[in-house]
Amino acid sequence: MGRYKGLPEPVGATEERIGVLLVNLGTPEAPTYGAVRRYLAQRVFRAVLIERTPRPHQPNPVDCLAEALAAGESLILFPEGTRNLDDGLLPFKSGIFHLAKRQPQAEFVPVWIENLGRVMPKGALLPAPLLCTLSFGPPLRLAPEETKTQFLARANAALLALAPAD
Amino acid sequence: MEPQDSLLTILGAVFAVLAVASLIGALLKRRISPRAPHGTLDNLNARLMAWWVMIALLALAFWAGKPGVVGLFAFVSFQCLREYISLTHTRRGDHRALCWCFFFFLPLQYYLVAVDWYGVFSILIPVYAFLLLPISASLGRDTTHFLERAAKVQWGLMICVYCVSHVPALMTLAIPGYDGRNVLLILFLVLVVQSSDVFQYLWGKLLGRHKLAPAISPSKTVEGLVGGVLSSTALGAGLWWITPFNPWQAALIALLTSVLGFFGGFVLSAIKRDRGIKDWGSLIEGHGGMLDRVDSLSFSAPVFFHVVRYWWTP
Repeated sequence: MGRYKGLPEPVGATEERIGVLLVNLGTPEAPTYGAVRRYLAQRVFRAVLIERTPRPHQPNPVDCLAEALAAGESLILFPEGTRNLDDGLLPFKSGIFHLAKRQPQAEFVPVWIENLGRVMPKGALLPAPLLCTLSFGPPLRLAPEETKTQFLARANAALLALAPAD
Repeated sequence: MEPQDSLLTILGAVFAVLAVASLIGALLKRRISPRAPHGTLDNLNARLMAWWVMIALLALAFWAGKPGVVGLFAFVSFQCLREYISLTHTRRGDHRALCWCFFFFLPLQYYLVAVDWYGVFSILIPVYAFLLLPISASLGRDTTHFLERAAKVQWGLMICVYCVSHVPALMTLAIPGYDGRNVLLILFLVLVVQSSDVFQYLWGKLLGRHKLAPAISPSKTVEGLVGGVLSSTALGAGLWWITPFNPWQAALIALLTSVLGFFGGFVLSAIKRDRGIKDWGSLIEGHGGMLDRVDSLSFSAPVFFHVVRYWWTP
């Protein structure tokens, strides 16, 4: 999991990012997201398509992610679940906990991306060509008796520990 | 001597010095520490390797003529500005101002060099960017540290773009009796300033005892500064024949640019210290970032440009 200002951050997929990008992609109601975006999502980023708010007959997003992990893939998730517009870290969405519950052997590697929010803040048309720095932390695993609150807090702290001093 | 011959002679000499230095570096490495890593020696060899690449790029730009020189320094500015802004605290509200810097003011400044429009070149960033960037930032509706952010962006643009653009601008000076040789002025400036850095490093390593200002730069010593500035002044005087200057003028100008170059590195070290970093980036192995390499050039280029423009052009 990771975070940067602006766009949400990695490990796992953010519900938000994947949702916005992908659900619109595949649906006929949104023809404006034409071939280029579909190509980027499917061929370049190899995104896992999930529903933001699945109806009963539709697949559960966590199932889709767990399936990809079980197939030996790695996922990039943005556990804040949205674009963070401020300094610091937003509380994590519970998706990574449910995913960890389903795939307890999965390792969650915290990644802090410094500067990405300044490169392309929400609503910006052009990216500012700044240098970004990735900091990787030691991987986390869900402990046997760990509760949702505990795991999310631990993951949040692991990520914050990678933030630069100022 | 024809300008091409002078250029080839000097560049040939530089490559010869580099070859000797690289040979010594390799021998020292083999003698002292053939297998285990050795901090100073490995860094020295990495620096030498990077010098090969930098001098080769400079030679290539000279060979391509004015477009090559303008293009090379536009790239240098771009990379410096990236490094500077990446390590400077700006906020989301500054994004539009940053895009103006990278995609408008930087290319326009170098375009003005290319078309030789001195009137606008000299005021574009100090006047127009100075007024327009805070307007753009204020439209971001974020007042947190506003003055500080506006000042940082303007400062970065001045150091990385405005000052550095005075190097290729030397191509535009019309010096009587010096037609077609302006590229040699750039070579003179770059050699004096960069050799001053190298000489300071060497004298500092050999004789350095008294730290100059440990709070700002732990590696700078009084011996390094004096030895470095004197050595590069002597080098500049020895290069008088590629310039429109006589030997003592060349020595004085080399002294001035070396001292300014020293303070360029010194001032940017103070900023790095304040930000808690050692280097601006990691583009050039052994040296750090682009801005670590051209900080001295940035401070000396505008003054060198104005000295030549005031006293040597009609």
